[in-house]
Amino acid sequence: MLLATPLRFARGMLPANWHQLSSFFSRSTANTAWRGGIKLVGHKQLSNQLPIRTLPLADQVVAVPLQHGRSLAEPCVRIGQRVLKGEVIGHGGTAIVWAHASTSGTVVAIDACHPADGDQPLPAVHIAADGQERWAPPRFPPHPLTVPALAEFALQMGLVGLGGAGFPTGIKLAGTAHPLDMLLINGAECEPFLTCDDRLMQERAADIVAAAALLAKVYGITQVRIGIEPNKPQAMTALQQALVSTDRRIEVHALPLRYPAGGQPLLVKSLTGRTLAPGRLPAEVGVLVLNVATVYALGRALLHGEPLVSRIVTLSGAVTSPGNIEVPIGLPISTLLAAAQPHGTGDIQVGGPMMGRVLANSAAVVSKTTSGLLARSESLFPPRAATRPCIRCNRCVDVCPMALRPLQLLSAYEQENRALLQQEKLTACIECGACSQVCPSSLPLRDSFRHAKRTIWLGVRA
Amino acid sequence: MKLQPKTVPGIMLAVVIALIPGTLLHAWQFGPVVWLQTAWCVLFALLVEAICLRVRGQSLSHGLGDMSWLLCGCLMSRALPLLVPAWLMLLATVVALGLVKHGSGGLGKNRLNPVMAGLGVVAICFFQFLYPAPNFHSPWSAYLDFSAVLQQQLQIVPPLQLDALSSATPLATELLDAPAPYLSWAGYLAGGVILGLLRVSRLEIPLAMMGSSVLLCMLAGHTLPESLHSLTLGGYLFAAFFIATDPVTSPDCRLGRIFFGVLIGMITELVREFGLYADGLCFAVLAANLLVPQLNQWARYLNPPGRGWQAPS
Repeated sequence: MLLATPLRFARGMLPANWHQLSSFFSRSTANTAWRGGIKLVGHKQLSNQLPIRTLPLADQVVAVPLQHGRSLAEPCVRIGQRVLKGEVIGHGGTAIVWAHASTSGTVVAIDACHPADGDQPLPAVHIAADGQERWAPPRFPPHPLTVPALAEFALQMGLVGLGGAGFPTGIKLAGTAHPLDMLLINGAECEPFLTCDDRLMQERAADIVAAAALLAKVYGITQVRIGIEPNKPQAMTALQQALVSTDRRIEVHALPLRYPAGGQPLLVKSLTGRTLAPGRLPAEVGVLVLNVATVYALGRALLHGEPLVSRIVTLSGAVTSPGNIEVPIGLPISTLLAAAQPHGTGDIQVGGPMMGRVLANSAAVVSKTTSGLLARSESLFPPRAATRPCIRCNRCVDVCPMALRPLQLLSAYEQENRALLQQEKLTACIECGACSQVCPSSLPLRDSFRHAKRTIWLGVRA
Repeated sequence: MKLQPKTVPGIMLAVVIALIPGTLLHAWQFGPVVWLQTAWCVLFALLVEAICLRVRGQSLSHGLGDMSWLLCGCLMSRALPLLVPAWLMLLATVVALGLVKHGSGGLGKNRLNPVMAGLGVVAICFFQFLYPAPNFHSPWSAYLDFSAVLQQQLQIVPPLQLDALSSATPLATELLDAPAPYLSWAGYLAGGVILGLLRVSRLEIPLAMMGSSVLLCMLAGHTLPESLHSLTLGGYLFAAFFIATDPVTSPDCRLGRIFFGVLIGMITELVREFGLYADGLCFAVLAANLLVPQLNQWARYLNPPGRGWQAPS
C-alpha cells in the first residue's frame, strides 16, 4: 500500500523503455516515433524498375465478384448480354459496393468464383472478353460535390480499399460526425517484394496528387500527408515533382523503414503524432487514411469517370519475368502466372510474405485486393523450422509495435483464458506478424492471435 | 545484428561459445580438471536429457536438437566446485534436467534455474565437497594431470585434500611460491557482454545485480575499489552474465528484470557479508526465480500492455 501510491504516480511519468527516453526529454514536440517493428529484406529490386504493363485479353473469361465482405450486389445483366468495359453489372443500391464489367465482351455465366485472397467462393459475373476493350460512356459525379454525394459516388464506382482489407471506400468517405483536418495517404508498401504502389507513384504521381487535392477540397482539409518508406526514392521524387505545380497543402513524408510502417495506427503516429487507440476509427482523431492506390482509383472515378475495373498486381519472387501488370478485376490467376513464368513448381503467395497467404485454388481470379503474386522458392521463402517451446526470450515483446507481450498472449491463448487475453489487450493486436517472424522457436504467434480474436469475438456474440 | 542467432539451438550454441573465453582462463589457472569436468557434465546432461525425453515420449532428435542439454552441461560444470566426484556431477545433472526442467514440463516451463537448483541440492546435501575444493587462493588442482584428475573423479584413490588452514601439505607450499592471478572473471565478462550486444541475454540483469551488490557492499563499510573487486571473486560474474540472464527463469519486461537483478545482487551480498554459506549466489538466484511471477505482475501494473496506445483522455 505504502509503495503503491508513489508508484502509481510515477507510472505516467517514467518512460516505459529506452525507446521512449528521447520523447521523454522532449515533451514539447509531437511524438511521431513508435517503437518495435522489424527490418525486413525488401526484394523490391526484383520488380521496381520495370514499367507497369498490360496483358492481351482476347479469349479470356474474367469473373467479376459481386460481393465485397458482407455486401452483395444484385446482378443486373443476363447471360448472353454484351457488356462494355465499365458497365454496371451488379447493383448495390445506396449502401453496397457496385460491380462493373472489367472488360468488354459477352456475359457467359453468373456463377461462383474463387478470389485469390479469399476463403469463400463468391457469386460473380463471368464475361468472355472480346479483346476490344471498348469503354462504356464515363460517369461523372454530381456537381457541386459534397461529402455524402462523394461517398455514394464511390460506392457506385465500385471503390474499395486497395491496400489489403478491401473496406468499401464509400462507407469510409461517408465518415462520422467528427471533423477531419488531415488526409493521410498510405504509400508505405512495407511488405517485401510488392512494388505495385511504388510503380504507381513513380508513373502516375500527377494523377495521385490531383485526386488528393480534390479530396482535400471536398472535405475542406488543409493538410494532406503522403507517407512513403524511404526505400522508394524514385516514388518520393516523382511525387515531389508533381507537387511543384499544386498548392502547398500536400506534403510527402518519409516513414520509418521498419515493418509494419504502413499499419494504420503506426502510419497515423508517424505522420501526425496522434495516437489511434485500438478499436477507434481514424476519424475520431481527425484523420482520413486512404491507400495511395485507392486515391488513384478515386481520381480516375472523379476526374475521368472510370469505375474501378482494374488494379496493378506485382509479379515477383522466383519468376522469369517479374514486374507489375495492370489487370482487369476477375482475370484468372493462371493467365498471370503464364505471363510471369515461375521457375519451379513451388506454392504461389498471394499478397506479401507477411500479410499474404498461399494460393489455395488454382482456378482463383484476381480480386480488388490482390496486390501481388509471388512464386515461392526455398531461397526467397525459407521454410519455417519445426516449432519448439517458448523460451521467453522476449524478442516478440521487443518487436511488437503495439507494445503488447505476445508471449503472454500466447500462453493465455493456450490456456484459453479469456480474461487474461483481454487483460493482455488481445484486441490491440494489428496482426502484423512481426512476432512470428522473429520467434526463434517458430511459434505461430500471429495465427494464434487471429484465431483467438475470432473465438473471443464469437464467444462475446453468442 | 547479422550474427544474432535466429533459432533456439542457435541461441544455446551462442551462449556455449560465449562461455569459451572464461573457460579457457579457468583451465589456464586450474588445469585439466576443468576440461574433464566439462566433458563429464556434458556427457551426463546428454544422457539425462535423452532418458527424460524417452520417458516423456518425445522425439529424441527434435528434443536433443535444441542443444539446451549442451548448454546445461557446460553451465553445470562451471557452476560446480572443481574436483568433485563424477557421481556428484551426475546427481546435480539429474536434479537440474530431470527434476527441475523435465519435471516442470520441459524446456521453457521451469520456474527455477536448473543449474542453480542442481548446485543447491549439492550445496545442501554434500557440502563437504564444496569447501576443500581448489579455489583462486590456492589453485592446487593445476598440478594434477589428466589421469590423476580422472582417478579423483572416479574415486579410485583416496581424496586429495588441501589443509587450507595450516597450509601444511607440500602441494600448498609449492603453490604459494607462484600464485597465479585469478582472471576467469574477465573471460565471463567479455562473453557476457557479447551475448548482451547480440541481444541473446539482457544486460539489465547483470548490471542491476552488480550495481546493487556494489552499493550494498559500500553501505557495509567497504571502499569502492574493494566493492568492485568483490564482484570479480568467485563465480559472481559467471552467475551474473550466464545464470541470472536465463530468459526462461527471469521476468518478461525490462522493469521486472532490473528488479530481479537488484534482488539477486542484494541477497548475494547479504549472504557474503553476514552468512555462513559460501553459496550466496545460488540461493539468491533461486529465491529471485520464485518471485518472477510476482515481478511480472508488478511490471504489468506499472507498464501495462498496449502502453502508449490508449485513447487520449
